[in-house]
Amino acid sequence: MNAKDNLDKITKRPIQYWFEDGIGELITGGLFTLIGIYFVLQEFINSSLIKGLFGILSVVIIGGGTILGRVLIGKLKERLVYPRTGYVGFAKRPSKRKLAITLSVVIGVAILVLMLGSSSSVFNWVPLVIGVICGGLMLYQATQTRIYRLYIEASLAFLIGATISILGKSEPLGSGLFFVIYGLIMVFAGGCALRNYFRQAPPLSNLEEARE
Amino acid sequence: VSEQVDDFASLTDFDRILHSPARLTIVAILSAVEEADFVYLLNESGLTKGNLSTHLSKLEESGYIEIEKTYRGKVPLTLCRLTLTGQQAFIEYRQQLKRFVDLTREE
Repeated sequence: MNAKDNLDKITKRPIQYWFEDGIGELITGGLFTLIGIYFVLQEFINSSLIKGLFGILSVVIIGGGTILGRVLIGKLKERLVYPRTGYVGFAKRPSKRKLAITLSVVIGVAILVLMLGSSSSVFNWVPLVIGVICGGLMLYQATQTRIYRLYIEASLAFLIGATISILGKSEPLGSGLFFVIYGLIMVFAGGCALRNYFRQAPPLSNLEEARE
Repeated sequence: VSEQVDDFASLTDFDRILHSPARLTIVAILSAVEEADFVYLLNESGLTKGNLSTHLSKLEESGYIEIEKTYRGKVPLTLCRLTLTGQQAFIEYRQQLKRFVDLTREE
């Protein structure tokens, strides 16, 4: 490995560091599981009024959950990670690539919402599309960080989405099942990563001294 | 011949501040982030506390980084950021390094 490769490795390291502790997956997985349960519950409600309320509430739950998730990730990192291995702040201004990815996800979600009403019971392709979006995002993170568990999680997203689609579960049960299963997988993966992180990075005995 | 010597001299005339492996590592780490604290730099660079402090001071004196001493709650926090001068110097250093590698590559 030459000096240039080493420099590339060093500059890519902070992104890897963000994923190393698994907190992001733990919280995102938990959020996915809750959203999934929420979708599954809708399957068992017959009243159209309550179903309508559930539909309106889903926007609040997804939006609020995303904001809450970000806050929670930040707080947990501040409490568990920064005292052990340090704090690193990323650029606040998103890059063009990140904006493009965010835009693609927003469009993807919008298409999904439209599809939710018109999905066929023979082959419900909504879970497959969600699987492709989630798996694609995870694959992007995996290629950026070279963390192997993210490759596995990306593959599982595709696999779970495709399996539920083939089983032909109706909506929103299909999406709900996807989010519950994939969410639990993320929680498990994140939990294992956090446990490994704690083993490798014990708390600093004298924090003040370490910080000078 | 003189022109060739001049070309080669320009290639080997590296920025002395960045040419130290420790300082180059610190600047490379900071180039990828908005800011990082002392503990992160300590873990990632593999330097000792004293060594890291010395190199950070040198980089600050050169205007390549800025250091902010603050608190997170009751815990003291030393935040380091790469300045525009530092960013420019790092880009130039990388370009120079690449040119040097290209020129001296074995056929």
